[in-house]
Amino acid sequence: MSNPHATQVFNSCDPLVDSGDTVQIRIQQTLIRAEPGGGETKLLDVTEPDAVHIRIEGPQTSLLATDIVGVYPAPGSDDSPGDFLPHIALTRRTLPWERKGPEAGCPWLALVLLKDSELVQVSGVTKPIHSTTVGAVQASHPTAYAQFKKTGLPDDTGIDIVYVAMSIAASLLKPENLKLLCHVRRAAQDNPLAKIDDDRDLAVVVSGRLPDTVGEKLELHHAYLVSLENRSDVVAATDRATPLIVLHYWTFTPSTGGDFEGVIQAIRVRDNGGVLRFGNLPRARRSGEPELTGGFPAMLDDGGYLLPPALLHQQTPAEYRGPLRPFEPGPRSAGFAVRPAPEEFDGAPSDAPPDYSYATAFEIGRLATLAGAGLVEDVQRIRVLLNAPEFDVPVLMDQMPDALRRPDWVVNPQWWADPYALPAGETLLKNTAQLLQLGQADFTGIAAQSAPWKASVVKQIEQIAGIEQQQSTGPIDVGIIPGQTLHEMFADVVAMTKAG
Amino acid sequence: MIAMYQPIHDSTAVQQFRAWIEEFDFDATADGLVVTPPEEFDSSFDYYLDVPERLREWLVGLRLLRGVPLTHLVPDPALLPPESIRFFHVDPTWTDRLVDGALSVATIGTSDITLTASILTLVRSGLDHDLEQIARAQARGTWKAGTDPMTGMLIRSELVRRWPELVVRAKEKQGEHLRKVAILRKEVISNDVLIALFAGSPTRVEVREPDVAMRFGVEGETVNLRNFDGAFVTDDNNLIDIQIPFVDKAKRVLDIAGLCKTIAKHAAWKAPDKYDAGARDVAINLEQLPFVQVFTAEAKEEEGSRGVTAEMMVAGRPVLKLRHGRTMQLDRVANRFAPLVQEDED
Repeated sequence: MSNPHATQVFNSCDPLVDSGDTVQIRIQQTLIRAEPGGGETKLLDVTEPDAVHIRIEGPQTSLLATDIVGVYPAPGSDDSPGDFLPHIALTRRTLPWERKGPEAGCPWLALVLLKDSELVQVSGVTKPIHSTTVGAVQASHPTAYAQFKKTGLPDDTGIDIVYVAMSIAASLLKPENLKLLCHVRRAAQDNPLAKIDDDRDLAVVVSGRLPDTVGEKLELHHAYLVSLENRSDVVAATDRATPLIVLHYWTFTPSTGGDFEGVIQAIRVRDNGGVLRFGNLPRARRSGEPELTGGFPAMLDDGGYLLPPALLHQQTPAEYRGPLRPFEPGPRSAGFAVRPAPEEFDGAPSDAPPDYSYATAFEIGRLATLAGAGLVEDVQRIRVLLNAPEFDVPVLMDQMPDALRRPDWVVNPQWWADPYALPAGETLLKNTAQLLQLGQADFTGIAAQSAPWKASVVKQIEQIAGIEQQQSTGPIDVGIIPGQTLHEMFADVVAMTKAG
Repeated sequence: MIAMYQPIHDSTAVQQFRAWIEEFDFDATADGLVVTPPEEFDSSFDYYLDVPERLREWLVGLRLLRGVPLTHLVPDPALLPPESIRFFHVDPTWTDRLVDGALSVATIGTSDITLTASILTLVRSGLDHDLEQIARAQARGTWKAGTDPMTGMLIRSELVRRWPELVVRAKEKQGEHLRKVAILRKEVISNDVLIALFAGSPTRVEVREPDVAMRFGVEGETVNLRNFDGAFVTDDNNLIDIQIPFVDKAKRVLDIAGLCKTIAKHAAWKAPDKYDAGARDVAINLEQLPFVQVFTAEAKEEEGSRGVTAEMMVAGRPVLKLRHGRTMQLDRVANRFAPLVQEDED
């Protein structure tokens, strides 16, 4: 089990099938049952009659941006030290071994580094990349063309070519070296590479040539990831220069400024600025010059004030010290500045220059906040809130004894069993049979008792109001009722008829 | 002080406010108007401050000198010349004044001033707490913001431009051990200037090359022999250098197959000539690890800047000797920085 926190390095990652090769997939299903007494029985053994034919495809003459994790040195950079080898990291861990190289076991990819002065002139033109077609190479470089054709490239395939002088190719493209310049790297989980490549496995192709930083004038360097597919001719070729297909290309200028170690070590050496206490100047102290520490001349005094006091575009000098001090400052002030007050300088001693230090800090804080988007509104939204103490919420208890509770107000299993029974054996129902049979009940008996009471009350009210109890008209049988009776009963109707 | 349930009317309110104000000291100083609140507020209530998050972050930033122009941190370019590193202490009152100024934008009148002073007390302690939280998240300790020292380092160098992600670590001696000191801020503040602030006074500061993905290279004409697991192989605690063979030294083409044989030959983990070294061994041995520069409090200050000595001259040119026999020509480096120096002088 691999450790995800460690980077692992492998010699190579050979694919099962090379790019460009065709393979067949034939499907076979077998089902075998193990017998209890030993032995087995084949229940199913089917082989599909049709095979699936697959051709493996992969990059051959160019790479996509997604095929590349990164390159070193950075394209266009001018600060890579001469001690570091260029390299390119590829997302496909099998890519350098997906095709046949110049000899068995040799990757088909190599990283070639050329100085600008080593570019070969072709047809009167010197340029780093020649864009052409496979067929166009035939006339000038028949050997290389023959090798291109062996890899199955049609004549009209567009390719980028770099011509490498044989004097360089002979030393740079030795197969025994190329075998050792490609490896596979499984990046640790916390490695920046792991964030770029989803499976953390990368193929790395390293150049076997160091950049040249020896000369007085540093040259532009060209880095080419080239194809050596089937190129057994590159080392043995007798041509002046051999064309190589370029899959990726970038340039950089190496640096004599050194690597990280060189740069940081050089800081201590004058005329560089040195590693010093703030306030010291990186030079020898002259006679009479104030000293801070280490024998260096001081630009600040012990308290951090500028020496001499700055003029700051005023006629009189002013004291200033920033927040950075050469020594530990005094204790923090307990006070708060609440407004800048230039008028306080009016009363300042005449022999001491005014000290703008903290006033400056105040103004920087104020102006920077005024300039900040939304900060003024935020300052106005500062609120002081009370931490209200937590207390128990009072709960009102029901003090009513059970005897006084109406059974239907509370939940009590006994009451549910007979909801109309009272504790003393009485019942709320006047007539249980009436309730059960007719669904009518006068639970309290009030209805029965109130009927006569109601009639009595109505009668008394009528008497008080002087209302006479009228005889009910009752049903009228028009067959027997005389006309006089109708006139008397409906006198108002008769009167209205006559009037109308 | 009026009682809690005493009715408030005009006279009692004024009386109350006056009593409140009298607890503060007002001084017109060179800093402006400085109000010093009583050491402890006499409050009947436990109260706290609600500061909008955006403002809180801004104020914490001010306490860490964010937003302060470089010219106010370094009032003269000579204090931070090209290719320099400076160590300093931070004045807590200066950073407090930044916050005071920030909060003054909402102050209008005298009563605001007094009330602000009480709010400022809460803000100050709240920001102290926030800074202490930043420190606690990185390192154990009892560092108290505003009380215990805050120190820092400024780097003005090509280092910052070329390796802006460089790593800074700080440690302090605690008995026989080194204890981690929290980095409160590490930020590139201009093209070639980096500031780092420490929660305490470290006795050891490490500046390390950042974790770039990978690099391969040589150290002069050698590399340090490494084990198959990447660990350096040592002989009597000394690293073992193996010579780099060249196919064509003039063209700087390495003999990788020859190097591989040398690695196998020196391999301590297998019998010589029996270990089948391959591309992985070449990669492991050529891989360059990040460089770490250590600064310690024990180092003599006068060693922080020294002139070119006679021993450094090779063929009439100053040369810096690095590890593993590597060298760097200083005059070439100086030429690269000449425009920067000229810029400062202008």
